[in-house]
Parts: sequence; C-alpha cells; structure tokens
Amino acid sequence: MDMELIQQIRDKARNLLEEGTVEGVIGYERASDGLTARPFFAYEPAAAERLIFDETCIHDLVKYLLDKKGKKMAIVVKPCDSRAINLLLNEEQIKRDKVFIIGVSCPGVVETSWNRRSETLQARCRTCQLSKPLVYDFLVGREVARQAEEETYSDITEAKAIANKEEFWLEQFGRCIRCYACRQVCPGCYCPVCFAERLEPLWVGIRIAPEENRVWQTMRTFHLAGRCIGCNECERVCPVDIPLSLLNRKLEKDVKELFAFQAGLDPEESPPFATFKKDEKLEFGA
Amino acid sequence: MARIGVFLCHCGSNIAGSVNIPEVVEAVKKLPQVVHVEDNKFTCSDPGQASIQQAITEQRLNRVVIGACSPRMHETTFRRTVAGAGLNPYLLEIANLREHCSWVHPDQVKEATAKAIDLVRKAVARVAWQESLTPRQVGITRRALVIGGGIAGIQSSLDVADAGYEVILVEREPSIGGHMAQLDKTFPTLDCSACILTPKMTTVGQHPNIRLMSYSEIVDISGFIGNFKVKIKKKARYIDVSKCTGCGECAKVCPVELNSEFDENLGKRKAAYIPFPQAIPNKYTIDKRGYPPCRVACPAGVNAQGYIALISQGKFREALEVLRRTMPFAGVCGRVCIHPCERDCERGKVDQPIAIRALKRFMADYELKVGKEKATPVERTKEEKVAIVGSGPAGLACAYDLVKQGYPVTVFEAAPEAGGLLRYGIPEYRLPKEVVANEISYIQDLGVDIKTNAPVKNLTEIFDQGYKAIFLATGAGISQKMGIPGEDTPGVLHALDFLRQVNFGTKVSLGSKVAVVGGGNAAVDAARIARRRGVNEITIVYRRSRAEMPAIPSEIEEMEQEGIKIQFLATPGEVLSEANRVTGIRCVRMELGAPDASGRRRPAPVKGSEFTVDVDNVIIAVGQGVDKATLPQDLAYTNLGTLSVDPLTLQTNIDGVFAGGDVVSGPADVITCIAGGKEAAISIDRYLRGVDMKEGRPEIVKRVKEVSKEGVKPEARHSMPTLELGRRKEFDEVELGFDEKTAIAEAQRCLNCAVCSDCRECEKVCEAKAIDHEMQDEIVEADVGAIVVATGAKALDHTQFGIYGGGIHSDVVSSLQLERMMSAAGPTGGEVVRPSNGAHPKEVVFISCVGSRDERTGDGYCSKVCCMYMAKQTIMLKEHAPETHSYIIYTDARGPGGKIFEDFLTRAEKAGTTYMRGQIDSVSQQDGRLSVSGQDFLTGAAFNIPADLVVLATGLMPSEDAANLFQILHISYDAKNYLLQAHPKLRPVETAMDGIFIAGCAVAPTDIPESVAQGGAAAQYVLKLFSQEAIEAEPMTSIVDISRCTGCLLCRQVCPFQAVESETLRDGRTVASINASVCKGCGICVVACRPGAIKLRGFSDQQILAEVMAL
Amino acid sequence: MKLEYQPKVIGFLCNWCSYAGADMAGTSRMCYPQNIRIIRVPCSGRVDPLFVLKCFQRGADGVLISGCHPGDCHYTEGNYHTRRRFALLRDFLDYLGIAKERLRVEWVSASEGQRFAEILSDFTTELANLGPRSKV
Repeated sequence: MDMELIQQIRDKARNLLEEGTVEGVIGYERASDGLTARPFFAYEPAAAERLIFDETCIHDLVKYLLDKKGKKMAIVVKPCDSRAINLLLNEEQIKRDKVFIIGVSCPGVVETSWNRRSETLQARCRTCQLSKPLVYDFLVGREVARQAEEETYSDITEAKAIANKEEFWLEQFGRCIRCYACRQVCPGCYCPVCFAERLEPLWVGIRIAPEENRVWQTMRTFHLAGRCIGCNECERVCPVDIPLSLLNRKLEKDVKELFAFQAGLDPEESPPFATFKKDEKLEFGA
Repeated sequence: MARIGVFLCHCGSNIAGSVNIPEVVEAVKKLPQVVHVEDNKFTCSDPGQASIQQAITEQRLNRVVIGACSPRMHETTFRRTVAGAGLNPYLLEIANLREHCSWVHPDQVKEATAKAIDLVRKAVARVAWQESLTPRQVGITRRALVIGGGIAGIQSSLDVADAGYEVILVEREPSIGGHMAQLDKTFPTLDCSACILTPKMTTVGQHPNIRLMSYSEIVDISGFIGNFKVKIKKKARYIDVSKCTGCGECAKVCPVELNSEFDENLGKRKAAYIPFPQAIPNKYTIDKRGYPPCRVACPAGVNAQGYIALISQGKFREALEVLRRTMPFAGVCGRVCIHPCERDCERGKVDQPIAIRALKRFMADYELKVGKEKATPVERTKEEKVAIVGSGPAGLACAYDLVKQGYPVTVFEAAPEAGGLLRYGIPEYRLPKEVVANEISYIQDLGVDIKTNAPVKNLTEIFDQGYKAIFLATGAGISQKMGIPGEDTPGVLHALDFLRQVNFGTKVSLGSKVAVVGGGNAAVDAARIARRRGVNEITIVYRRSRAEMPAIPSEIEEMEQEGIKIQFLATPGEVLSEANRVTGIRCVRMELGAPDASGRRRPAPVKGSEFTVDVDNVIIAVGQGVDKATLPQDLAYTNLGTLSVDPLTLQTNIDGVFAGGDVVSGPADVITCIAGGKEAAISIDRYLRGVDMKEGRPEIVKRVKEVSKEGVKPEARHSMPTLELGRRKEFDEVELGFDEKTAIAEAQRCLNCAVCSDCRECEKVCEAKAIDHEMQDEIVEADVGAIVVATGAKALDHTQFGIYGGGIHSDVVSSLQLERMMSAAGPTGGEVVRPSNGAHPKEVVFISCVGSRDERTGDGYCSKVCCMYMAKQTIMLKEHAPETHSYIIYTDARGPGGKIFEDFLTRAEKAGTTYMRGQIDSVSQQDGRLSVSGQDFLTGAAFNIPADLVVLATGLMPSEDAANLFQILHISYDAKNYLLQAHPKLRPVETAMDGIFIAGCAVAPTDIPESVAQGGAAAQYVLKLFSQEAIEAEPMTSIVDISRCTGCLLCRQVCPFQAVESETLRDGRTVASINASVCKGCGICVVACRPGAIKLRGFSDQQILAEVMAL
Repeated sequence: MKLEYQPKVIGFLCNWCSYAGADMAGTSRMCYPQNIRIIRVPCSGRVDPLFVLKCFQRGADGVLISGCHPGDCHYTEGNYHTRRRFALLRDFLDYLGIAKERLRVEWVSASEGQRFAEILSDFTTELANLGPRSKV
C-alpha cells in the first residue's frame, strides 16, 4: 500500500470538508474482510481518516454522483473512472463546478471478491493507456509511464467465430434473472424509467425467457453504444456470470472503427449518435 | 374500451379481384375490439362514405379502420368522412390493400387474402392506440414565389398578382420568356409567338404586384406551407438595372463577341448584351466569368485580354489605357517580359498562344508613331509624402500606383539617369533607351518627382524631410563572383559591370575570343553585346543543359543565329593567364543529378573530364546580389543576403519602411519587380490611411473555369519580324514589332476566355452611369407562403447525335436553330439558309424522335411537341420558299390533343410534305450535299434521300441544374429529372410537399396551351391557400414527458429543425421542450431518447409496436 | 418462382419515399413476393432498433428498413441517423446470431417502384435460402 498516496487523499479530503468546499467525499475504505475495498462516503473531516486507495479499489464511484445532483461533492477518481465523468458532463448529468475531482494516478486494479484478491491486473487495466485521469482538480500519486498492451479485441474475434452464435447467446441470456445489477452499477444507465420496466409500451415481457432477456440485453448494450467507458462493472456484478464485456466491447470496437469515437475521452466531442457525416461510407452489403 | 369499425373496399375488382373479401370479413370479425365489419364496392364513393358515417353513429364506433387504397391516396378524404360523423379525424387507420397487396399479387388469391387479413389486423392493433389530435392553426404569408419565367411561370405570376397578392418571380436568365420567346410561329394556329408572348412579358415587367428577379437563382429554402423562407442569389450583372435605360450603347462598343445562346449559336452577341430585343427586363447584362488565364498568370495582374480585345477592334489608344490602368511599361514589358501569360494562354491548347508580349509592344510603338500626347498630371488629393529609393521597375511601378492615388511621390536615384536595370542592365538592341525614357517621362508627367544622382544613405534624414513612408527598391546590383583561381586577372569581366559600362558608353576593349559563363539573360546579353563589339569567337559556358537555361528561349535562339556557341554541361575551374593576361579557362564537364530546391537538376562534376578553352576575355554572369554597402543601416536581412520583409505587406523591420523588387527577391524578371512595387503601393496606401495592411491579402482571384474552344479554327500565331542577321549593329533593335494589320489579326485570335474583357469601354459610353464592373453577387431573403416551380426543360443538344450527323455536318441543324432562322428577328433575318454556304435549301429532311422514344439515342419517353412543330416548320418552309420540299422521317406521327391537331398534320401533308415512317441508318456528306439513308418501315425498302438541310427534332429534357433545385426544395423527381406530381391524375400540379406547386415542362413535356393551363392551375392552388384565414398544420409532432426526461439533450443535437429547446424547471432540473410549430414530425428525436420521454403523436411507440406485435 | 420456405418479412418504410415507391410498384402492377408486411413511418429515422428486435422476437425472418436516398431525406437528415444506427445494429445482431442478411437497410425513392419490387424479390429469395431461424 502506498501510504504516502493515501495520506494525500486523506489530507485533501479533510481539508475540503473542513473548509466546507464540499459537502461530502466519495472514496474507498477497507472492507470488513480486511483485504478488499468498498465505497465510502465521508461527510465529517474526521471520517477522512478511513479513506484508502490501493489496487483493490475496483469500483467506479462516478455512478454515485448521479444521486448527489445539486450537492457539491468530492470524489476519488481513477483514470478509467474519469471517462465516466466526461460522459456525464457531455450528457449534462453533472455540472463540473459541483464536483471536486481527486484524481489518482493508478497503476491498475486487480480482481477481487469477498476475502479474496488476485495478484494479476484486470484485463482492462492491461490495455489501459491512461497514466492519469483525463480530468481532475487535484492529482495524487506518481504519474508512471504505462506499458500498456495493445488492444486487439481478441475476445471479440473469438466470440465472432463461435459456430452457433444464436444458441450460445440464448444460453447466456437464459441465465439472466433480470436483477438489473448490471444496469444499476453502470454510470451510463440513469433513465428514470428503464425501457425494460416500461409498461406503455411493454418492450420486454415480464416472463424470464431467453428471447425476452435477449431484447433486454441487446438493447441495454445498444443504449450504451458509443457511451460505454469500459469500467466493466456490469460484468463484475452479474450474479450469473453472463459475459457482458463481450457485448459492450463489441460495440466499443465497432464505434471506434466506424466512427473513430471512444466514449468519455473528450466531454465536448459529439457522441456517434448525435451527429453524422454526409459522405461516410457505411456498409449495408452482406 | 375501443369500439372499432372495419370497412373493406372492393375497389371494383381492383382489390376484390385478388383478395377474397368475404374471407377477410370473417377473419376480421374475430379480432378483439372490432364491433362492426362491412365491405363496399367503392368505399370512397358517396354511398360508401355515407355507410361509414352511419355505422359510426349507429354502432357508436370510436375507431375506424378502412381497408382500401394507399393512405397517400385517400387518407384526407376519409378523415373528412370520419370527422363528418363527429369522430376525431385522426382516430382512423387505413390498411393499404390495393397498392401494397392486390395490385402486386395478382392471381395469388390465397396469399393475397392472408396478407390482407394481416394488414387489417395490423391496422386494428394500431388504431386502438390512436389518439384524438387537433391540427394547429398557422398563419400564412400571402406572397408567392414563382421559379422560372417561361410561359408557365409567367401565367402563374400574372394570375396570382392579378388576384391582388405579391409575387416574386425568379428567373435565372437575364430575361423572362423561356423557350417560347425563341419560337417564330406556334402550332397549330401559326400565330406569331412573340406577338402573343411579348404583351404578357411586358405586363409582368410592369405589374405592381410582381417583383421580377431575373438573372437570379434559388439558394436555399426552409419552412413549410404558408411560411417558407427563401434565399435568392441575385447574380451580379454588372449593370445597375435601376439605372439602365436599355439604350444598348454598351453593347455597341463592347469588343467581345460570342455565340448567342438565344439564337442557338447561329448568331453572335456581345459580352454586354440583351438576349433579344423584346427582353423583359429590358436591361443589359455583362457576361463576366472571372479572370482570364493571362491575367491570373501575370504577377502584376495585367489585364491582357482587355487590351487585346481593343486592339482587335483597332482601338489602339484605348488598349494602351487598359494596360496603363495596371502599370506604365508597355514598351518595356512588350520587349523584355518573360510573359507567363503566354504560357497559360488557352489559345495555346488549340494551336499556339497569342503573341501577348508583341501586342503589348505594339501599343507603345503605335503611341510613339502617331505622336504621344503629354499626360495630364494627377491631382494631389493626399498630404502624406512618399519617398521611393531606386528608379528601377519596382520603384517606378510603386511610384506610378501611388501618384495615381493622389500621393506626392519622390523617387531618389543614385545613378545619373533613372531606370535602374532597365537602363543600365539591358542592352540597347533589346530595349532602346528612348523606350525607357518615354515611359519614365510618362510617369513624370503624372506628377512623380525623380531626383537623380541622389543616393540615400540615411532613412532618418528622409523621414526628417517630411516623408511619411519609404519604399526601398535598390535592386540586386552587384555581380556575384565564382571564387575560382584567376578570377581577378585583368580581362575577366563581370556581366553587370560589363553591361553597365556599355550602356554608359564607356569603352571596353575585348580580344577576339570571349567566354561567357552562365545561362541567364545577363549571360546572353553580354555575349550578344560582345558579338556586336566585333568579337569573332564567343562561347557560352553553362553548367546545366538547354532545358534548364533560364534565359528567354527566343533570345537564346536569336543568339545562336548570330553565331554564338553554347558549351552545355561545363563549368570553369580556373582562369588561365600568362603575364597577367587571360589565355584561357580550364573547364570540367558536368552531369545532372537529382532536382534541387529550384526544381532544376543539380549538376555535378565528372571526374577527369577537364578541358581547356583558349580565350582572351572571360565574362562572368553567374548571378547578382544585393549590395549592402549602398543600403541604409539598421535593416534586417535574410540569410540569402536580401532584405527581410513581411511576405504579405513587404514592410521591413522598420515601421513605415517597405521594400520590394530585386532587393527583396534577389535577381528576378521585370514583371515580378513591377508586381512587388504594386504590392508595396497597396501597403503604403493602407499604412498611411491607418487601415489593416493584411486584410484580404493575398487577393484571391477567380480564374475563369472553362473556356469553350468549340468552332475555333487553327490559325498560326504571327511571328515577330526581326532585323536581318547581317544588319545587326550594336544599337539597332533586333525585333521590329508588329504593324497595325498584323496586330489586329493577332489580337483577333484571342478566345476572350473571361468573355467580358474588362476593357471598360462601356463605362465611357453609358450616360446613365449604370455600369459597375465591381458588382458582387447578392443574397436576398424573402418570406413566401407558396411556391410554384416552373423551371421548364431544355431541348437536347443536337450536336450529341453524331449518328444523325449532328455536330459533324454543319448543315445538320436542330429544330430550334431552324426556328431562329425562320424568325424575322433571328440571326439570318428570317432567311432559312444552309449554314455551310448560306444558300437556300431545296430539299429538307426532318428526323423525328431525336433523343425521344429511342433507347438507342436517348430516352424512352415521347417529347410530345416534336410531331407538331415539325409539321409547322414544313408548312412554314413552304411559305418562305414554295420550291422547298420537306421530308419527315418519323417513328409515329402523333397529333395529341385532339381537335385541330390531327388536321394540322394533314395540312402539312397537303402542303407537300413527304411523310415516311422509318429509321435512319446514317447521314453522310457527299459533294457538298447531305445524304440521308435508312429504311422505310412501311415498304421495307431502303431509301437514300439527298438533302440540303437536315433538321433534327430534338426532344425535351429538364436541365441538369433542375435536380439541384428540386433537392433544395425537397420535392421528388424521377430518374429523368422530371418533377413528380402528388398524384399523376388527380393532383397534377401539386407535389408531395404542401405549398409547393408545379407547372409546365418541368413536370413532363407540354405544349404552350398546356403550360399555360398548368401555370394557371398552380396559381389557383396558391390562391386557394391564400384565401384561407389560417392553415391547419399536421398535428403529428413530438412532445416531451418531462417526468421521464433526463435532460441529456441528445434530442436537441439530432433535430434537423432546431425545434428542441432546453427548459429549467422550478426544481432546478433541466429538461427538453419541443416547439410544436417548428417540429415537423420526423421522429428522429424519439429514437434518440433512451428514457422514452419523447412521443411522436400519431406515430407513438405503442402504435408502431402494436403493429409489430400484430404480425 | 416457388420458394421452398416462405419467410416472414416486416418492412419499415418512410412515408415520403419508399412507401410511395411501394405505392408506385402497385400502381404500375409490378409483382413481387407477398411475404412483406409494410409498416408506414414518417421517416426512416423514426425506426427504433427496439422495433427491429421485437420483429425478430416475434419470429420475423427478415426486416427491411427503407428510406430516402442520402441527401434526399424529406426531413433533410433523418436517413443519415438511420444509416449510423443500423450500420451498428446490423453487425451487432449478426454477432448475437441473427445473420446480418436478415436486416436490410435500403434507399428507395418515390419514383423507384421497380427498384422496390426488385429489392423485395431479392430479399425474399435470400431469406428463403437462409431458411427458418433456429427455434429456441
């Protein structure tokens, strides 16, 4: 654990709370297993001492900002999470002057579960190109040059080569219990009423059937086309292990290739479905 | 609970023929919420509609489904029916059982019936979700836009205007009238076209309600029925129509003549023109198409086309005035200019470029020959004194431009005589001193004060004398050295020193053998001077090959004729001497490597290739440089040793001090120096007036796009007469110049690329002061409520039909050309003649359906008017000359329009016209006559008709630009660019766009009465609209449910109509809000809205999903 | 032509161009396979990807979305959005096992009745050759 970095976070958080710059600080604390991390909300200067940061801080805390609209909050943000900040800025869901961003230069996080943590970096961290958050007010940690692996989307290529794709996916979707954890954890999912729970019209039937679930998962992913920032929290929280990254990353790859766009890199850039080019060549051939 | 009634239409047998209606009725009865089903023979008939209304009342129906034809056909009708029974008209859904089912699946009763049941079930599911909608009331701008000033557009405009409403009539040509104005007589009554059209045109021109915008085009249209916004481009016609009296003096003096479009290229018109005498507006237009290539190519922007056009008219003095608008050096540049203009001359693509430089010189020669008048001094209107240092071409050009603008200008020259390099650097046989002196005296006459023997050493002194700006143009006056051993030996001369001494008259003694080192003009000049000084053996040593030699090619040629040799690909390495006397040079051979920065291939020495040349003198001409010693202090230099200036403004590092010419560029040609002086003059003027020196620079000029070379016959360029070789003495000019006859003939070769030559002779004669050569295109915006599109069609270009000899034989003409010949006001004064020889034709063959009804030569449709106009033309030919005999080779002879049309064809036949049904194989020419061969379809025999004239009855087709306009208007058109009607039978003058109506040949080929009828009909629709208090706008617009809106405003980004605004609620939330009066109901935002907060009324998610779920 | 398998096809047609084009095919009595059921929309930009998913869920073998040619949209730019949305969805569905041949996006103007009929014949044949979709 980098105690120096943690001390910087705690000092800054305490400072912000003492001066009243923010009403609260969203960060991480040690979970009760004593090994992993969990989200933590500090509202008192003294509570700042509970803040930590290490490679087990896997959660994308930005989602919590959606619930704190109107309040000025400070938040601990990893480079990957900063893309969610940019996404929400672009979609006018948060206001920049209402958020104090404590950016962390992050060397990557590992896979964790209760009382357990792996020693290897998460796959998304291995290809991450960001050595520091894209947007921040206060930067902690040493900015280290990253030696990122090249993003080859080999998982997508493999999934494309599956012999009976419909069968494969219906089997995956067949497991879905529509707990909507994937949606709840996603920083890009914030509709007051999700299409999956709308009655007029009833887009997705109530019964838990593979083809109903397919409509749900297909459209969930499609609503995130050009918006998914790749935190992969959905896949982490899925209780039935549906490989949701294969869905999100497929569209991420296509959006990158067709429209040269990646979500959350620039809050000013128009997302792919907000704009078009008259002379773009988009193939509709077989 | 919905109570749905379903009404199924048989449409006679149109639907019932393929769909088993009873089976559908039984199936539909079982559908949920359907309480009433019935079928009718014709639902759209009165009984059919009455039966719907009765059922609504009796069965208390609150939703109606009608299975019939396409909703695009009768939706409005049935909405009215439903409304008549007290139901909201939008609680109706139509199942398209005819266009989408029975008509496309004949003889498949089982499948078509199943499909019909599906379609009705889908409609029932949808209608259950239908809501009552109320159309919005929208105001109307009661002003019409009519596009196209042919007879259809004229009729529309007059009808709307006479009813008391304003009309904007936009016509892209300079005059209204369209094709009808070109016609001589009209069928079948043979009345004079102009006689019936002209009064209507005049009425348009004078009508208080009509704003005629001729020579204008539509650029953009937005809005919707009753409320369109249009942007109209008024193309610059360079004549102020409010001042022009139509007197035509401008056209009389205009030197540029080109083919008249109105006369179908048979006659001529001027660049300043009116298309025909009865044109409305009766105002002239100047046809200006940008800058000619010669003017673009000239560094100083000299308008060569302008003076050449005037020379061609024998207006030599006026021509010189055109040149002097830009610069004063006709005689100088006419002799020594490197003429980039000739390189770009478009005539060069036909045969050889115009001899522009020689023509320029001719103007100066002519002035000297007839006696020069002293120029009147320019009035001094400005206070600020300008000092110019150096009197070479750059300094004098700058002085010239500034003095003309009213500045007091003084030129300081260090040498005893003004002229700089013009006087001291170029030998007399090429540029006589009197020519230079004459042009300098002209500049002095205008008011420029030239002080000679006045070197300037200190800029502060000049400023102290009250000068507000200084232009440094001291040139690049020192010869560069080669830096080889022996270069300082007496007998080694540097070219500039040598030329200067010769020009000063200093005695220079040379031996009998001279080597000149270098390949530029200075080298050539030095060599030829040496020849004139009696040197026997002269060799130019140049390190590259002939292709890279920078001297003017004609000068090199002349030099070689004078016996001077060139040693290419060699360079001296040492000057050999004995007793301090030159004995020779040792040279090394070179080979060319890769191109260097200048684009020329870099020479490199070949090892062991040394050789020696015996000479008595060496003249070195390898370059010139700036002499820093002669320039004032504190100036900044580039690393090439030239003055450092801002490339755009030419200002040096010192405020108010500018520099140009060789002192900035290094040694360059005369015209580039003049250009530098002119640029500096612009900067100095702006500097003294305190305005931005950089704005709008460099000036972007529009080069003329395409230059027509059609019909240009090759004709060799006139060569420059020169002094015989034996008579060339030191001071005698070698080139002798053109005489007047040659100059005119050469000038007449000019293609007048830009059409208007910008000579501005018209300005002089226009008493109304209506001419403005600087006029710009103007965009006019207007609000209109309705639009009539009557853009017409063009006759196909007959020259594209080579199969019939079109474009190959001059006696194969188009029917419109014949029409122009028949017209008394036409190019032949009403005489029908053979274009090849002017003789009256005896045998005339008409070929019908040229480009029509024949996939071989054009398109498959009938152009409708050709059969009748051919009959008319044969009758008229007989009237013109009774001995004429006409053949009409036809595919079918059609007399559409009933009544007298068929009789008219008979009349033509009775008048002696021979009708032959057949197909043409070829049209050839033998012994000055044409021969038309083909096959007679009725007898099966081949024919071969000798003819004096062949007339091609070319079909009609909308112009290519029409499609662009239709796209701007968002109205549909077909593959041939004809407009599509809202319904081909029932709504012939309406489009699918409400408020846009159509008439005339833009829709399909029509004759005059049809065009007039359609124009009037379109006007009637406009008036119907204008007579309403307000119009109902479709209620199918989008609405935001703010409880679901997240305020992401993606909807605002995708809306093409800026109908979405953001709105802040009291709780601080930001949400989207849609302006229903701007929303057009496309539904793009609905799909963009992830939370489903936006609903498109009439096309809601529920409705469409219900359709999907019903299938 | 008799098809081995009669596919079920749902078409979303822009009211201003393709729907009118289909009308024109009708007025010109051009025959094409009966398999299509046409849903009228104001613009191809109104077609929600969800509609397409629901069509496939309801057992459609093929879905056609047809709008105005790029540049000719009645609403000036709706079809450009359609093009982007469905370029992405089409490949995504293919990835999920619904072959991309089953979703067609076409541009048919009001005057292209012939073209509309040709597209439908071609599409229907292609779908018939693909056969029924795998049953869940």
